[in-house]
Amino acid sequence: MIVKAENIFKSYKKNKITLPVIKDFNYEFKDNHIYLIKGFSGKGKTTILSILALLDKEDSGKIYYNDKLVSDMDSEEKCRVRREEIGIVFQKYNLLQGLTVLENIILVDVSTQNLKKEEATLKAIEILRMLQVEEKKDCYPHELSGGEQQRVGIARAILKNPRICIFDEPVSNLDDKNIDIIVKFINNYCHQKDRMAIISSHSEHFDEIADNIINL
Amino acid sequence: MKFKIFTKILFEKKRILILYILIIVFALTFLNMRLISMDNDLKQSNVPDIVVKGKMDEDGVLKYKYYNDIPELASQLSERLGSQAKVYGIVTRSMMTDKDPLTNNYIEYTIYGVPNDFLETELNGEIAEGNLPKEDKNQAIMGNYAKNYYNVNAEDKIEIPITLKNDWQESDIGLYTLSGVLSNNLEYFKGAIILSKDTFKNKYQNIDDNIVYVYVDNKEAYERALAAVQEIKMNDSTIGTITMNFYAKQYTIRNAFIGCISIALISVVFILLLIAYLMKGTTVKIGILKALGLPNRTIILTFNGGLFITLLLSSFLSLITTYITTILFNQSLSNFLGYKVMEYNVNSYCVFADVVFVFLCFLISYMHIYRINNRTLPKEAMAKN
Repeated sequence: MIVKAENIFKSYKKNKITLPVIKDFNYEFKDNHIYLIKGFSGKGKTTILSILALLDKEDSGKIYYNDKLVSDMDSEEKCRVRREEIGIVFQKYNLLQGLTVLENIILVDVSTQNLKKEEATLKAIEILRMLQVEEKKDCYPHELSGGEQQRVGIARAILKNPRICIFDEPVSNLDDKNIDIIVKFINNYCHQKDRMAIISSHSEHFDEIADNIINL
Repeated sequence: MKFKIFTKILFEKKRILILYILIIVFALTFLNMRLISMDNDLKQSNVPDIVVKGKMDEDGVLKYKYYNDIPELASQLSERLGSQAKVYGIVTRSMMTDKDPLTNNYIEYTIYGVPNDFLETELNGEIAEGNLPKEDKNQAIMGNYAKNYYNVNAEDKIEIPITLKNDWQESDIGLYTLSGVLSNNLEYFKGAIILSKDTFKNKYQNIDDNIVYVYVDNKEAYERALAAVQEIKMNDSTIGTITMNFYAKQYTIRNAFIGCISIALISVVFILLLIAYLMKGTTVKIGILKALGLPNRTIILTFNGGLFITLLLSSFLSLITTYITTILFNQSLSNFLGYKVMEYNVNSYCVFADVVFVFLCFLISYMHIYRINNRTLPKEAMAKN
């Protein structure tokens, strides 16, 4: 999979003033690479990730997945692409509080019948084991620490083995032990599964594993 | 799995789901009981709009034939009013009066000889037990109080003298059987023993009316009927009292409906406020689900499906709690009166109201969810706060 961003511009309006956030961003992302996007707060790291993940629409420019223009797709098609090709890990974890860890992980794939419940459950447990949170599978998010919630978020993102994995500040506010587990997992997963990881983070831990660093 | 997921995403905690169900069940049970009361009020207001009685003898003593005859009145009124009113000539004979243990008022136990069309038109839907009297049979129906006072059940022989002649004899005892019992709520006829005067005339002898009932549908017809009665009375000295029930009836009916509509509106608004409170945070949840790739259709189904199932379950449970409540009310009333009464019964109004309630709440919530879903962008999930 190759993800290409061409001439991306994005601005936001605040109090009738237009604030440009992304100016003429161009980049090509490939499989089996870890990309680290760095920059001060407000430089547009999350905005870039949102646009690459088809969560937000650029003001101008194009996004291609394997030479197929995806930025002009309608919302339902983008939703399908997100569901099938992209795994997203959010800074704020975004686990659904009413569901257990296991239910959070398998929710989308089982609801859309992408996977059967039994198959999805087995896969989810295996991933949780790799992330060292298997014993928490029947717990609710409020019963987990921040680091455990983020690991569950990662498990949810990669259940369907997506080609593109997007991590928005995955280790902010986590302790060193959790950071270490997550960094190692991303590194192993990306290279073993031949996947693309695009990470935005201030943490220096990712400097060691990143194949490319993009400074905004 | 889907129902479980639907309700878990919407309610988050089981105790919140249970609390919502309990509140909705309580509100609906309250509404249902109010509807049952309304139905009872409407039945109690099933009285003639105008009652014209023959004069009583001046000594005021309660005789078997208490009111004197007014033989021509019914036909005169029918001729004048045509299809604007229903006029029935009634033959009454008085048995006795006794105190009502519930209200401490006196109840008149009275025999009514009514035309067959009165039975078919005015009493057909009011039989709680058994049937209307069959033509050419010595059968009578009773009001609930009369049935209990004389201690008879449907198909029993009535061991009291029942006749429409001017006075009764020993040979009139046990001539009639009880074919049916009127609904408890038909207050006007609770002490009544009602038989067909047409059958009596065919079998025994001709008898004259001494009471006339007039039923109308609207105010204009009522005014016209009343004017006709008063005009005839001016030239007919046999006519005694005229009782006018039209406005009291309309007042009762109107109050019953207003009471129910008020409760229904308050219940719906209250439940919708509860649902609105439940929907707080829905935007964030929808944003997350969209970001994860859940299609719009599934998102709408997730939220509305859970809500619909909850509303439906609550509605079903409320019918059960209403039924249990009516049993308790009836038992309490029966214990007080000393005989069995079934004054409170789950009726079609309750079922209809619950169905409308579920549909209305669901429709409003569906539109709300649909609007939020269309407005929410998947990038909401990336928001930092």
